[in-house]
Amino acid sequence: MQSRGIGVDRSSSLLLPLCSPHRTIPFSSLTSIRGSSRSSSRHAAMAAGKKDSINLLVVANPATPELCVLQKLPPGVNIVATGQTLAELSQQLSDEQWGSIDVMLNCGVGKNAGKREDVQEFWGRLTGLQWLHSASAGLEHLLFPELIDSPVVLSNAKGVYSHSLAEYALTCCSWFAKDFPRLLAAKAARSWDPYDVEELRGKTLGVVGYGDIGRATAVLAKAFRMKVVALRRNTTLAEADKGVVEKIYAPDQITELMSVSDYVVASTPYTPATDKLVSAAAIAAMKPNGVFINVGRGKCVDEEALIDALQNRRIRGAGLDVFATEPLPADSALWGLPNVFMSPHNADRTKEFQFESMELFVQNVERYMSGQELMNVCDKRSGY
Amino acid sequence: MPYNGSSNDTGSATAAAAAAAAAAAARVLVIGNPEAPEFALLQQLPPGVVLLGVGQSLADFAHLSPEQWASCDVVVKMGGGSSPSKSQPAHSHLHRCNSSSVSLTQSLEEFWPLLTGLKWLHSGAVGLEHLLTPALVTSPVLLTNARGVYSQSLAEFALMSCHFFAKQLPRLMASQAARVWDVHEVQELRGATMGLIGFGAIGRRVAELAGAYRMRVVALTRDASKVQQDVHSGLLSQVYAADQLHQLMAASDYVCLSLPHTASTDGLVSAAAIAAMKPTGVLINVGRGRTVDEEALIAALQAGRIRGAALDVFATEPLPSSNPLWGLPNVLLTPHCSARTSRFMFDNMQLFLDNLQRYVEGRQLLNVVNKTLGY
Repeated sequence: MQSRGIGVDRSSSLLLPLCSPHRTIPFSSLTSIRGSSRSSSRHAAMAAGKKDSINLLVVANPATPELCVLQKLPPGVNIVATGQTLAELSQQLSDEQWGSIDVMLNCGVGKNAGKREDVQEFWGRLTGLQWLHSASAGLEHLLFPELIDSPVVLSNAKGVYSHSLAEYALTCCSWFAKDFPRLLAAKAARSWDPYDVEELRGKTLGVVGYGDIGRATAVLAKAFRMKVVALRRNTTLAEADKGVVEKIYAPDQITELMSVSDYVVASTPYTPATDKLVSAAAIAAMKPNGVFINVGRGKCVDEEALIDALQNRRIRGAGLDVFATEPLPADSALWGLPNVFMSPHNADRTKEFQFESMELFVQNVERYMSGQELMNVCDKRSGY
Repeated sequence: MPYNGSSNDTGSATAAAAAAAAAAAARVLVIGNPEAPEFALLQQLPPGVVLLGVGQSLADFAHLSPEQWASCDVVVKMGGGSSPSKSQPAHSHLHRCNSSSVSLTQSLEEFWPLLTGLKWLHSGAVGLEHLLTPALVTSPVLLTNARGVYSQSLAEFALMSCHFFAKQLPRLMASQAARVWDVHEVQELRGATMGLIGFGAIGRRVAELAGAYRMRVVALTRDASKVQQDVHSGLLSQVYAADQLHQLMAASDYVCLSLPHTASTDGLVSAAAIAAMKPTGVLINVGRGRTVDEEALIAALQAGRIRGAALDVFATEPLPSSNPLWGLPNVLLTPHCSARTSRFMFDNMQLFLDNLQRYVEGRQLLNVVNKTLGY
């Protein structure tokens, strides 16, 4: 038998890539357990017992740098195999061992990640799987029918990226408020040309999708003394949000939210329910000086309609980190629009970002083994 | 004629003027552009306040009699305006830097000899270095300014400057222009250190915003006892004394200067202070250009010894087109307008009106300036 994969062996940490120091952030703000009734009863059953040992399957390229964080896993965790494809993993696992896996971690970014098709291929062998954790926040690349229908509990990295994305959203707002294109043109021309700048204070921020990212953005916006309104499926505001959000809209009221907002930040996950949620009609309802910012998923907006509105100056501009197709094709009109601020889906790509996601997984494993409720349990049917 | 006022002396006013002055709650003269929209707020003067006139030069007040001049106890000095320009003074540190601006000092020197009854002068600027003539400083005239009016706008600019470098905006824009999908790492402000030089109204607002980003905020201040409350509340993580400037520079990822320009702050951020900065450090200046050794700053930026600078103010304004700062890619440059919002003059007038109400009621005024210190 080939190597049994990389084991968590305290005595020989040579087997895992060495971690350079990275910042650990506390996950104290991550709480809400939202599960469907089926997964929550399973989840409750899972939570009930303490476990002395678990068998963990890591689906990722073994060279993925952030895997070093797994050295922090508690005693009793046995990493049975690490790899991306059925072929790779079968070299490390007997049939019996496949069946003994109770936890799976899907991690890695880009080429290092495990793909849905690969997971689907070996899914049938994971007869003992209880819990699958995704190191990303977005799940649309992972979910498939067998996973959704199974009793396996799914958790994700919700919250890890929120602060970064909130910072980015406010950067986009400032970009337009201070009229950066004008500033930069004046600098290039060496032209001393003072003009009135806009303050964010007093302006209205409309948050489409008031989850962790939306909330982090709203809290920052309040520090700037902006007014905040939000849109969400659940229109009941938690106590803590009442001081932040002035008005909450349901998804079918999106045009109302768009019409009152000076800056709109979309941070929804991509699910069947959010496909083109920001529709042509929603864009048409925006204020002429309105700015649309997207830090969620490109397919949540009607990109053609957005381009049209930007080209015809029916809105002031857009700040976009995500696109319907990524990488954005070179022939997309978005590249050439002067009223577009764009970034290549890297708004949350800090040095620390994947390491922090792994830290969250480690903390979740500790909870799992001590019989506590997991963080970030997802509703597989809703997709987030 | 030098003004020689004292508390019971109405100068050379006649008995009639003295009686008239006693009947009015205040007699106000406004130096500024009468057509500026914010002056519509003057229609809301407190009862008993007499408005002597609004204008930019002595010629605009030709209608005033000597008695009326002598009876004037309040002058408001607003800058700016869109009227035809007066000649531009040699070194104008204006809060509006366009050619039609009214200079703060030039106008007042014209008026000063006539204002024998002046008790209170309110400036619509924060920087007062050109208003503080020796005559004004030694007189008993109370001076107030617009401290606080600009704080939000300047604080927003300071944080935007941090983002400019943390998110690598120049790189993003270059990639966009080239249609290149260039994925790279970005930095968060969370956890970075913001070092404040100057902890007045502007510095404090920057601290509040930086705190919202979970930055670590430290400050240099002349009087540590005044900021103890801020250390306890967590607004500030650390306070540096005036002689610890280099330590603050060395500890900070972003340095934000908001100092007034006075004899003691001239060139405060010296070549040595700049040399103490981190190689990844960014210098932000929203105070006055002359508090920095601009030559040394340019040299450090050109050599890449610091990451960059975001500057709203300069040693000479307008910034001459020959100045190297224009051409440096690691410089974010704004033409002294980061505080200039369409509402700020309204906020400014409102501040004056609030203070006027206090004056009329005999209450303590807001934003009283220490004329000797200069701020």
